[in-house]
Amino acid sequence: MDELRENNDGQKDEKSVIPGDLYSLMAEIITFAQELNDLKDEQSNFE
Amino acid sequence: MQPLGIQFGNMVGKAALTGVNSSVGGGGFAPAMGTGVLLARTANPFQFQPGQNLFGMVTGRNEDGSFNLRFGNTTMQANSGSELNVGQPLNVTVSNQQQNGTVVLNVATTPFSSLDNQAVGQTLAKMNVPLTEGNLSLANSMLEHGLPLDKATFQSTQKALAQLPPAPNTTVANARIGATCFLQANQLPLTSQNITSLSNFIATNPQLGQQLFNLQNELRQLKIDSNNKLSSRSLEILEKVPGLLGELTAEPSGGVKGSGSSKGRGMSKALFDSAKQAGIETGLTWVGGDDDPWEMVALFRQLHEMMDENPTLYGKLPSTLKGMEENLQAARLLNQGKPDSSLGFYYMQIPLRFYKGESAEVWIRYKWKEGVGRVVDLNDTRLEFSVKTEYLGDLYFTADISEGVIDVNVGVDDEEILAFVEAYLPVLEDRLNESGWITGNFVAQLRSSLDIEREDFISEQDFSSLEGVNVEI
Repeated sequence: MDELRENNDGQKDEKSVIPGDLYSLMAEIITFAQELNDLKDEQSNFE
Repeated sequence: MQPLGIQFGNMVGKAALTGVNSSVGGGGFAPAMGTGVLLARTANPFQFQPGQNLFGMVTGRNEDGSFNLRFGNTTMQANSGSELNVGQPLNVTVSNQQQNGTVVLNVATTPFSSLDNQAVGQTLAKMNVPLTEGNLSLANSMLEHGLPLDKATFQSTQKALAQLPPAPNTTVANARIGATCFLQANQLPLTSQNITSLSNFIATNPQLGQQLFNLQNELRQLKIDSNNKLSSRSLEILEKVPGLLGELTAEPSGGVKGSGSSKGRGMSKALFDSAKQAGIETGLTWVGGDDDPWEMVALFRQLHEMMDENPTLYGKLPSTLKGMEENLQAARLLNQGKPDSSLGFYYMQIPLRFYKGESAEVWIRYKWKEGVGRVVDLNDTRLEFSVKTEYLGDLYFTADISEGVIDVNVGVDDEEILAFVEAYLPVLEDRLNESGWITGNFVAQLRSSLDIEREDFISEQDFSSLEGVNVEI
């Protein structure tokens, strides 16, 4: 664990193996996919 | 069959159910029962009036194939020609009485859409509760969550909700009611903080919320079915379930930089937790967050080992838990492997909205550095996503990041969906810009022309040439 923490020294999120910005990016992309799906559903219902 | 005392809401009668013909759907928040007919034999079928609405729940399954149904505090047995799920709410309407001593009960399609406001209103009136819109909504929600509609439960729920400021909209109001019902049903403190954090969690994690409600209903019922004969160890494990919920409702307390949407911010914490469970963020804690190492696999294992003692009591729950445990173990093994080349991918499975059949898989590229280990470099990495959706099929995203610039490709399976995704791709680009990313090329294309890097890695090596290793833990 200490080794992993040392690996990320100098990054924005010191304790995380994956930089925090990438979690935000993942969340944006997955949320976008879900919203696209909902939009498609709404369009289908409207038509 | 001996007549059994049963209670339907405020009504008490004696009945024995001799035949059940119904079709069923999922449990919990999903539609509970399809349209069907229950044939109930009773000593006095004429005590039930045609048109009466009755509320109850399927509470257990017996070794002879019959089911226990609970209405209020009383349980009765029923035989069914088709499958029933433990935990399903029952909402039936009395259709008519027959000469042979049976009562025909029509099962509502779902426990939600079919709740009869008039019947709920009549029950409230008997409890001397004013028939306001808010009270009717609260009563309906209590029934949907399997709580008994009696005066004491109604008033304690109402009092708990009064601690909070007015809800800005019905979505928040419903989530708060759901959270309050859940806490109350599990004898957890009805503090404003608990209600707020749980309702936020329910609003942003409908799939996990649903699973937890189902799990809680199942486990709570175990205590009733077993007449408190569960071992002290089993009881100890059951006590951990609220703790599980507490972990999942923990709010992110830092570490996430810039996110465009509030939904995205909430999901970042869930993704971090998924990475922890997948063995990526091994033993680490959220920056500034709780220090309690939450071990989901161990909890799942303990629960299904406990259930192995008497598997017939638990229905599908043990296999569900075992499947989840195996998935997590597999992801951990993948993430512990050392790649042949200097590049490798972390792997995560993410459950999304269960009722929409959504899930996501994410691969995150890292570099293997001798003497250091795996390093995910924010300035030189690649993420690949496979997101399963209900109406667009599988969507494949790749995000290449180099020196702060991000390129995104979206792969889809057919031309119609391609045009749809292309039209909205600028929205994603705008959001990432707002989050501080410098955006490069954003392209949608057919999946067949998308470059999936991890597949190149796999195809480089002939499967038969791989060395077999024992991965038992």
